[in-house]
Amino acid sequence: MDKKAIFFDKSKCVGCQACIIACKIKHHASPHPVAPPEGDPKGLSPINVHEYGPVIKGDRVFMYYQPLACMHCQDAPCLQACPETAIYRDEETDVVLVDRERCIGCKFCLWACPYGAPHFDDQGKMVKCDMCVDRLRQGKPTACEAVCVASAIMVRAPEEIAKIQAGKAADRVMKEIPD
Amino acid sequence: MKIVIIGYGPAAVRALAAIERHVRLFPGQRPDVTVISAEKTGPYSPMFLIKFATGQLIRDQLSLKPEGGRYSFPFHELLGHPAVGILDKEKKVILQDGREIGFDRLLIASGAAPVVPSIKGIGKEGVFFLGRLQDAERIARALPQAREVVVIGAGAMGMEAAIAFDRLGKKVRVVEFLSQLLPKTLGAKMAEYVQGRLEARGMEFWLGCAVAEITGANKATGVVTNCGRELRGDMVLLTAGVRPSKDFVQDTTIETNQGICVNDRMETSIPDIYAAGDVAESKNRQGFNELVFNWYSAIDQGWVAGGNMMGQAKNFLFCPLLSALKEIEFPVLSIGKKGAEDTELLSRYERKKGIWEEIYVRNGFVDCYQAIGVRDKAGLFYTLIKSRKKVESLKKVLLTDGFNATGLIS
Repeated sequence: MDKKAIFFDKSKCVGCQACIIACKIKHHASPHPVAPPEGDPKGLSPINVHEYGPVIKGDRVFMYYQPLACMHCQDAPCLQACPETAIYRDEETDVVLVDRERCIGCKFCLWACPYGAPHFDDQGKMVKCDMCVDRLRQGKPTACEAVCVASAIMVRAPEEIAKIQAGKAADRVMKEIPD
Repeated sequence: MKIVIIGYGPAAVRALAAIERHVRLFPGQRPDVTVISAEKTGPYSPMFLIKFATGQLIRDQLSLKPEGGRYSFPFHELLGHPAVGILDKEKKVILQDGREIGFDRLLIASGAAPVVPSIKGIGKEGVFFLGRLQDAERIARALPQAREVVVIGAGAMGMEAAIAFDRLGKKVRVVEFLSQLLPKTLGAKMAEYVQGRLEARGMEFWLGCAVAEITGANKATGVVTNCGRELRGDMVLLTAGVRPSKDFVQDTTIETNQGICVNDRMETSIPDIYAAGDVAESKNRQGFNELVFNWYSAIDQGWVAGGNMMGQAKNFLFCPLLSALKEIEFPVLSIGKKGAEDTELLSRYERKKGIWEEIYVRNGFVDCYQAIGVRDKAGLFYTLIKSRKKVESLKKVLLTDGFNATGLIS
């Protein structure tokens, strides 16, 4: 099994929120808000779509969407912050996972995560994107990637994502250069 | 190489983890590690003591475990043997029973102990502190009988305890010497708002009052404040702050201030002696020494100290103070310290959503972030304050709902 990384393409996302629904179904997440302080008042969803806008540029109006789940950071702050060592890295896929049995719901990971990725269920246990690691092992795409109509979510090998990113950057540079 | 670690808290455990990591990379460099602790128990998380005392956690969940269960280097524990002195020239640690333990590298991670104020009647039964596991065990034993609890001190620790007791259905009265609750972490207006919401739950606050006496014959029955008011409580919890435990370095030439002064490699003024955790006083971004009593700071310092003791070149990036009240429906969060002058305040208050955020920006850098009812932005501001990123161009979006580090990427 190769190492995997997740990439969200802001320029492609149309904000349909299908990924949220697919993720909730896959992870059997409660559709309702979970009562705080244990849970999350916004409801449990390991993936979210953040909206920015409307932004007016000249005579056009823009709306931006940013899908976001756990980024599975290489130097994950949550993994270091966990007092119970409940958060660990899957050796095979490089995915950051959480051991539910060990989690005590202290929220130290939430305060450390720059993306606000950890969520908490009604038992106060941390739930976050596991990159559908069971599906990855079967060679299937993640739930969110499978349903994304705009191909805005990509789970690939880190090198492949780097190549795509580099291509996009090159495109941007080419636009700047006059003919 | 002989490494001795004084103290067995988060910083010490993280230093051991750094040593373990080093040994895995370089199996030839196996140090001989001895941990000296005043307590008879293994390492545990001191920040969850109140959760343990109120029955939310069991003992096993409190303990800090090494990754993989054990260490792959020779490892000895000397538990229940407090260090009483250090011979810095001979490189030896003196234990209470007179034994001398030699070392090549020493890490002082003895943590901090609760301040014991001089109040009349403090030795009575039913008066509790919260610093060690025994204290939490005593509270756990006394709690079922207590109906009313007086908490002295409305700092982060006191408030966390007060809320935990309130959730158990106890009548909680909080006495604070200063005129607001959470004086070190929150601004006055925000503190007032939090107080209002907690009072609505039935908690009582007596601010601007000092405790003159703890009443009762042998067992505490309440407190009398200096304004002459009598507050009943079968249990009195004293949280008057903490102080670094560094008595054993008195006779050495190690430079100390309030804590033990360290540089950004976690070295003290004497070579081969390191300090980390609550006891260490590191330099903040302005170049002044600052004590930070915090889990995040302790583990970072422990990690850096452990690596450097093994001959790596790790540097510590100052961790701002992060304190949070999380056991209530509206999380209260404070990161960093408000600067004195030319501070620009960005704030957002949405009554319906119960959200209140305040960002203090100085010279284009975020100095301090305080928030009520916001859950997912803590990590972002922690990163912004710690890494000192310029936020001039982001000012407009910093306060939007759901803004997080993605805003920085794009």
